[in-house]
Amino acid sequence: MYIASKCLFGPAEAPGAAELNTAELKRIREAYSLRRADRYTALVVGAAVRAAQGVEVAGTGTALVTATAFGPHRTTFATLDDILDYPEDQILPTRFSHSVHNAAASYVGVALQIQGPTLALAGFEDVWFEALELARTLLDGGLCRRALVIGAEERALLTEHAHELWPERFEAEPREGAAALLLSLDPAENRYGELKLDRTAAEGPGLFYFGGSREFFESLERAEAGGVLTLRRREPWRGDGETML
Amino acid sequence: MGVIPVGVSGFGAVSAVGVGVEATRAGLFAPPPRPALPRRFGTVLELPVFEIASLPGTPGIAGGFTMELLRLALDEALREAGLTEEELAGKRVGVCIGTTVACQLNNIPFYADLRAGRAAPREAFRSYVKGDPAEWVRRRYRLEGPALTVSNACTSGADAVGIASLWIREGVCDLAIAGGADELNQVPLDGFHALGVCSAEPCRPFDADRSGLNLGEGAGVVILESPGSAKRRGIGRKFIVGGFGKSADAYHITQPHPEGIGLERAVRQALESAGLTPARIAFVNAHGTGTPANDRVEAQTLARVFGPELKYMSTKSMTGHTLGAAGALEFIFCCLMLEARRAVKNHGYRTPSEEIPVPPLTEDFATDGAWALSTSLAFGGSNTALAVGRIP
Repeated sequence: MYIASKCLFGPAEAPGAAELNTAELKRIREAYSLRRADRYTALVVGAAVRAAQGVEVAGTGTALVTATAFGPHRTTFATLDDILDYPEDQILPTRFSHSVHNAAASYVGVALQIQGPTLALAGFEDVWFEALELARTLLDGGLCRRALVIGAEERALLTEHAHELWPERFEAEPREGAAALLLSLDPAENRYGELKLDRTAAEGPGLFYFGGSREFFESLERAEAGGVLTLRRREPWRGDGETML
Repeated sequence: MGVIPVGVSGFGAVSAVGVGVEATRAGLFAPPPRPALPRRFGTVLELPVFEIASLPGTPGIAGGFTMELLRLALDEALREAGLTEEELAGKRVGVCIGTTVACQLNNIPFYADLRAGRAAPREAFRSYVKGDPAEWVRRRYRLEGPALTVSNACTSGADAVGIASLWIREGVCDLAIAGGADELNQVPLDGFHALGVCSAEPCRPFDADRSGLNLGEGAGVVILESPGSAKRRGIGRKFIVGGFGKSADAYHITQPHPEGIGLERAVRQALESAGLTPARIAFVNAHGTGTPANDRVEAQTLARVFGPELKYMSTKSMTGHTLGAAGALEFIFCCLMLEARRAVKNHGYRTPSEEIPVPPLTEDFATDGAWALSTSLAFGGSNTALAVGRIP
């Protein structure tokens, strides 16, 4: 599986990440008619359109997979605000429809006219790795010729409190950002090397709650057509004595 | 190399039609339950729902009621497939579960504390994280394969079954646990009401006077297995996942494409991957929510693909719309109808509509056909079709 293009939006410590600031998010919103969409969606769409720049992804030949731990929880909580603050029959429909995890994928689909298999995944045990493995299965199975995989996490009330609520499990500093890879089995589309996935668990610090190690993103920054990039699945949290069932 | 037939070694089902497969088998062909106002949670909305009042077993696992529903269906499916915890431990088994509710921390008291700056109950947060359905199953059985929680709105359960079938077909694993689960609570009820798609009456899919959907809850789990694995374990398989079709409309955030182009693509893809012509499909268990838009688009699309001989129904007038569980449950209902050689009628349908070119089944339909199709549509223009076959 080859990396045809890539994009990383993120914090300053993310290697090679494009800066994610208010101006950039505003530009994304304006360019892709995201007036009603939330911040999480803007992140996903922004990363997707950058990764797809210059590549013909429209139509049925491209699959789209999004991956996140917490998803659009800012919007989920906005829906709860409506329930707490207003009569039950007056909550805003747009908030509810945008709190669904696959709303962001739908916006990407509309923006890029992607009509292939579109799937939104959620998980806390390296869903980024799982999404890339799913992309490989979709490509191998002939369901698409290219797969656009986007991992994203927004910073909001829940991620800001995650460490306080479970200090052993979540790092003190949540990182907001998005990563996107456009993948293909066609060697002619290899611009950043071959991506290999290794389910052997890897230790080491992660960069985002959705997964992917810092080491992986550093390698991605340096990736070139002749190279091989290996992503190992991050060791799942084992509970530190707490039952996980 | 030919396509690997993906067998169904077992399934488990929990819905308003029945708790457990035996009850579901009987309930499918019995007069349907009537939806009633919710009892498990408070609401001022007078919207009937298909609620599951109580479950056997002990509550208290991570993830709340959704996970209790899932656990019940999972245990039943594993039992039927002859799989034990010891046999599964350490094996490369895939897990793919669809859900909508379990992916969102929509615990209202927790959030009220959090936003007010009070100490929010840690256990609610931890339960949400631990209760990611696919990861929970992987941990519970100490599995080594992929684990995906699909949150693709109302196609999630069907997508999970489709993805797991791809894993088997592509050799990612020999055995997979797939399905969907969703509970009913105040958030989806208020949300769907806000969207203006809930009916105050029992829903009437494909009827001229349909006025929206009733929400429901439930879980469906299937065990999918390669022929080699089933043979090694000495397990007979009665059904196969013959085809999986998946496409996106790229049209609108909540509305289906008015011409159903994405759905048609998914249906044709499922048929093609199963090597079937439309004439081989005995019946279609349609998404059929009872909303004006869904039923119009779906009925017209199915009529275009299958022609005037189309036989179809929606089982949502028996279960309500179980969201992330719907596609998995309806796949299982297809298996049970194929097994019974009888397709159930579309309950609630009375009045023909000009915009529904072929009426749904108005009586149960006896059939020796070996194939059925289950269709699912979702917010965001997500379309899924699964072809399910009965092994003679």
